[in-house]
Amino acid sequence: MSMPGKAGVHGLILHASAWAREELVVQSELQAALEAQSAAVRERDPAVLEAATERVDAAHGQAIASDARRAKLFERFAECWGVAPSTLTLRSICVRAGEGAGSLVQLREELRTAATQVQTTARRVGAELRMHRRVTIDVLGTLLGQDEEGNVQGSGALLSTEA
Amino acid sequence: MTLGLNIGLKGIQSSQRALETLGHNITNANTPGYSRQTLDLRASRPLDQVGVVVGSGVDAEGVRRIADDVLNRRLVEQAGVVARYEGLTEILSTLESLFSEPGDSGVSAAYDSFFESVSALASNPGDAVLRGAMVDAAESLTSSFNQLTTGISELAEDSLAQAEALSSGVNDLAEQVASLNVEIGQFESGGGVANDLRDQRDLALIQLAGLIEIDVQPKPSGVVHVLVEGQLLVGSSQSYEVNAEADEDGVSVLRLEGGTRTVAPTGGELGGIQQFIDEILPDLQADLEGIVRATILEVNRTHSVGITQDGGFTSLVSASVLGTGGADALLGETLANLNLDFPIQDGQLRINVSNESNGEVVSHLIDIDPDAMNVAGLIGAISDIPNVQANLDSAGRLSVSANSGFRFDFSARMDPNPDDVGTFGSGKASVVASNAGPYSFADGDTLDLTGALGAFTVTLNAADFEDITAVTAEELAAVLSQNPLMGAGQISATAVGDQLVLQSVTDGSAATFTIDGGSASTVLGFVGGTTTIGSDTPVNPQISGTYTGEGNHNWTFRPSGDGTIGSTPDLRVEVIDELGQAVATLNVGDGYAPGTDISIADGVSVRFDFGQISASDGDVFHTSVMEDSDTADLLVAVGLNAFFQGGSAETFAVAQSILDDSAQIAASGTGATGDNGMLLSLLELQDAEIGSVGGTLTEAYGGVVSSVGSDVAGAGERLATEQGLYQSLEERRQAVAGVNVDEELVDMIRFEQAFGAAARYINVVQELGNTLLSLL
Repeated sequence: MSMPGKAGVHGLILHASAWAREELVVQSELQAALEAQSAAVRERDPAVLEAATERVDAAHGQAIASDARRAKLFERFAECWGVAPSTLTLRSICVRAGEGAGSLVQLREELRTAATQVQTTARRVGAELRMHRRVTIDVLGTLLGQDEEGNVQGSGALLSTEA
Repeated sequence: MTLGLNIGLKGIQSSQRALETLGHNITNANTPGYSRQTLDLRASRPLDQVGVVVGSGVDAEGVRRIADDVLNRRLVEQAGVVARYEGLTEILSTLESLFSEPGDSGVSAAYDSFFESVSALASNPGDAVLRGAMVDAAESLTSSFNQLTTGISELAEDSLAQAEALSSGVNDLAEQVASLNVEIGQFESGGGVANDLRDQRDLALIQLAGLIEIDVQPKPSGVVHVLVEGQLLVGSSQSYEVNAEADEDGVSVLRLEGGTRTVAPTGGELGGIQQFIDEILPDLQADLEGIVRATILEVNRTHSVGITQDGGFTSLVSASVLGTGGADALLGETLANLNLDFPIQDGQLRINVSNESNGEVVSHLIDIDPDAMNVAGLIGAISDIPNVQANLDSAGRLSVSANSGFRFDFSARMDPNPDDVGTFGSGKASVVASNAGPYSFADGDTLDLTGALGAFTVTLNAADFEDITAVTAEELAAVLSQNPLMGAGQISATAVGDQLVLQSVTDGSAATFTIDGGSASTVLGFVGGTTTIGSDTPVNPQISGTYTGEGNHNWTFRPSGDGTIGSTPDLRVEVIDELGQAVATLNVGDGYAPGTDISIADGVSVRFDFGQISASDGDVFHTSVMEDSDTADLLVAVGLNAFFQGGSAETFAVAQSILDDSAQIAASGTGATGDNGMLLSLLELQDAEIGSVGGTLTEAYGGVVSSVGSDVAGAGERLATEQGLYQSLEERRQAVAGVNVDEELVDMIRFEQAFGAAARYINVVQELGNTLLSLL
C-alpha cells in the first residue's frame, strides 16, 4: 500500500474545495429554478411554466457536469490513497486529510445544507406539479368527456370536440 | 411542516379555482355577451416566525371580469344605430317591392299601356274592341295605383303595429335591466363583483338599444340608469313603461309612463320605423297622391270636353255627389263650398246644343264664379239654355239632359257655320246697325221702313222695355219681331252680338227693304234711305280646323268694303279679336278662288262661296275659338263626362259610365264622324309637362320610384357601414372579453403536459440530489 505524498493530497484538497464551491453555485441555481417552477405553477401561464422547466433542465445539466467532475476528482483521491473510488465520500476525504482538509470541512457542511434544501424543495414542487396535473386532467375530462388515457366518452362532456 | 403543507394546499386551491374559472369561460364561450373571467392571485401575507419573515403561499383574490366598459357603452350606442338602419332597410325593401319596378305589373307599365291603348283607339275611334282595350288599360292603371297605395297603407299600419310590439319589447328589457340592477346592487354591496350579472345587463342594454335609442348612465353603486330622450326608462330598481298611444291627430306616438313629453326615438329599430312613418311615408304618399290627382284632373279635363261618337249627349249625371244633406240643402250652397275632390274655379263653361234634325249647333257660355254662384244658380244657368235642363237628383248628383231631338256637349269645337243668322253676304237682304247696344231710346221713338207692302212706321213704347234708355239689341229685336207691321212687311229683326240686324224674311235677289229713317233709326246708326237687296248666291262662310292657340277668344269678321268674293280687287275681310286686336287680314277679292280654305291663324281656316259682301250694310259674323271650354273646371269637379272618378290614389277608378259602356268614351273633339280630337289631346298628355308634379306624369312617377330606390340603397349602404363598425367594436370586445375555446383548451392541455414534464424533471433532480447527499 503506497502512501500518497503530502503535496499531492493537498493539491487534490484544493481541487475538491474548488469543486465544492462550484457545486454550491449549482445547488443555488437548482434551488432558484425549483422556486421559479413553483411560482410558475401559480402563474397560470403554460409558457412561463415551460420556461421554468427549461431553467430546471439547465440547472440539472450543470449539476450532472459538476457530478462528472466530482467523480474524476474522487478517482484521483482513490488512486492517491489506494482505495476504491466508491468507498470515498467528501466526509471520508476530510477525515483522511485531517487538518490538511482546511476549508473543505466547512464547504462540505454548506454543500450538505444546500443539497438538503434543494431536495426538500424538489419534493414539494414535485408534489405540487403532480396535484396540479391531477386537477387539470379532471377538468379536461369533465369538459371533453375524456378519461385519463384520453379516450372520448359517450356522454357527460360539456364540449363537443367533434364540432 | 404545517406551514409547508398550508402553502401547498393554498397553491392547489388557487389552481383549482383558476381551472374552474377556465372551465366557466369555456362553457360560456358561446353565451351571448359573456365576458371572459380570470382569477386574480396574490402572495399571501408573509408570516413573522420569531423575527424571520416567511412567505405563506398564494391567495385567490377574486374572479375578475375582463371587460372594457367604455367599449361596451360604445357597443350599446352602435347597436342602436345598426338596428335603426336594419329596421329602416327592411321596411324600405318591402316598400320597394310594392312598386314592382321595373316590371310589367307596375304603374309605369300601366301608364305606357294606357297611352298605347289611347293611340290605338285614335287610329280607329269607332272600333268597339279598341275601346274595350282602352277601358281595360285604364282599369289596369287605376288598380295598379290602388294596389300600390293599399300596400303602402298596409305597410304603414304594419309598421305602427310593429312599433307597438317593439315598445312591449322595450318594457320587457327595461324591466330586466331594473331587476339586474337590484341583483347587482345587492351582490356588490358585499364587496364582490357580479361578473355574470353585469354581463347579462350589458347584453340586455345592447338588446334594448337595438329597439330604442338609450342613454346609459353608470352609477357608483354598480347600477345603471337608462334614459330615453332625457326621460328615465330604468332607475336603480324600477323601470317605467313605454306605451303607444294616439295623439290629438290620431297618430300613434310613444309616451313614457309618467312622462310629459312624447318620445320620438331616432335610434334603434323604433327609430327606423319612426323615420319611415314621420319622414319618408308622408312625402311618398303626398307625391303619389299628387300624381294620381294630376292624372285624374288632366285626363278628365281632356275627356270631359270630348264628344261621343253619336255626336253628343242626351243626358249626363255627375259622377260626384255634390254634397250631403239632401238636394234642398245643396241648392243654396255656393259652388266653392261643395265637398268635391277638385275645386271649381272662376271661369266659364261652354255648352253646345246641337239640333239632330238639321245639325245646327248653338254654343252657350256660362260664367261661373264659385264664390258667388250657388248650385241653384248653376242649375238655372244651364236650364236657361234652350233645349237643355239641369237638376239635382235625390242623391245630390247634378243631372243635365237635352230635349228630344237635341244633344249637348261641352267641347271647344268651332261652329262650322258661324253666320247662321245670315249677316255676312247671305241670301237675305240684311242691314246691321252701326251702333252697338244697349241703346238709349225715348218713349215714342220711331223707325220708318218700307217693306213688301209699302212704308210703315214702328213706334217704340217705354212699356215694352224694362228700361227704354238701356235697351239691348236682343231686347229690341224681340220687340220688333213681335210687331205685326214688321211681319206684314216681311222684315225680321235679330241681334248679332250687341248689334241689331234687320233682315228680309225671304232669300234671293227679289228680297228687299228700305230703311227710311225715324228717331230710333238715328240711335241705331242706320242711314236713312238705305235700300238693301238679297242675293241669289250667299257667301256662306265656313270655319274649319282645330284651334291650337292659347286662351279663349271671340273673333269678328268684317269686310273692308263692298264687293264680290273672288272678283273685286283688294276686297279684304278683317279678323279681329275681342280686344280689337287684328288677328288676320284675308284677301277674298280678285285672286281668291271661292270655296277654298284661307288660313286665319292657330290652325283655323275659313272659306267663302262666291257672293256679295258689304261693309256699307254692316256685314259681320263672329266665331269663338277656345283652348279650354271649361276654364272653371266644373266638369272635372262634379264628374260630368268624366273618364276617371275619385280624387285620391285609393279611390282612383275608371268612371262607372265608361265601365258600363265603352261607347261613352268621348273620343271626338268636334263631333264629326271618325274624329279623334279628344284622343289626340289625351295622347299629348303623355309628354305634357304638368306643373303640379314638376314634369310629365310618367317622369313624376319615375321620380318617386327613383327616390324610393335611392332611399333603399342609401339605407342599405349606411347599414353596411354601421354593421362594419359594430363588427369592429364587437371584435375588439371579443379580443378583450371573449373566450377562445381552442386557446383555452390548448392552454389546458399544455398545462397538463407541462405539469407532467416538470414533475418528471423534478424526479430526476431528486435522484441526482440523493446521489449527491450520499457522497457528502
